[in-house]
Amino acid sequence: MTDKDMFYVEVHRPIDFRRSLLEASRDLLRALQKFEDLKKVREDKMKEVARLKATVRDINSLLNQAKNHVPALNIKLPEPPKAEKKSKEEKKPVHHAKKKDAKVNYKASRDVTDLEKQMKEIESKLGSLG
Amino acid sequence: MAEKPLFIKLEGYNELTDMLNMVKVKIAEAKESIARIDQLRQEEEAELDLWSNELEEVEKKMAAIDSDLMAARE
Repeated sequence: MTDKDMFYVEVHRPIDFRRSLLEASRDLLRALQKFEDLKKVREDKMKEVARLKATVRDINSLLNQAKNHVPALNIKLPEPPKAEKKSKEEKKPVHHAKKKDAKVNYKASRDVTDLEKQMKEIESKLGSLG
Repeated sequence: MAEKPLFIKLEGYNELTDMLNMVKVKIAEAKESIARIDQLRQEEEAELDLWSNELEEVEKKMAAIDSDLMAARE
């Protein structure tokens, strides 16, 4: 440090000044403590989210197993006369989906694409029921 | 036209009802988890508010210190 950097400052209220410094340090330490609390809450939240994900996965797996216990039904509903051609075209992919469904191993399908596939399948079945 | 009743043969009926009961239990668990997550989210927000207040206090004190030092320079 050179002499140019030296600067003498008169502190008018030294006790107040010192108090302010100490209080600032104390508050900063408190803030750090709060941050640790915040980190802990976030960790707990992440754990709970992971638990929720596992529970939802279990529910999905159980529902798929339950679905396998129920026989597949082929209910033929009377088609409306005007939309005959269209409904036939729409029905085709439903049949394909059903064929595919038999091959799908539901126990192993846990990723998003499989879930989407299952969702489409359920929606198409619901659609065919009217 | 009234819907006709439909009867289906269920093999492993007891197993199926057990599964559905299990699903109910799991749904209750999921609800509890969601409630806990919501509670933790509120705690997180409260902690953030406290943290923000503490930092504001520090900022005020620093401003006081700064003004004392700057006043000497002027």
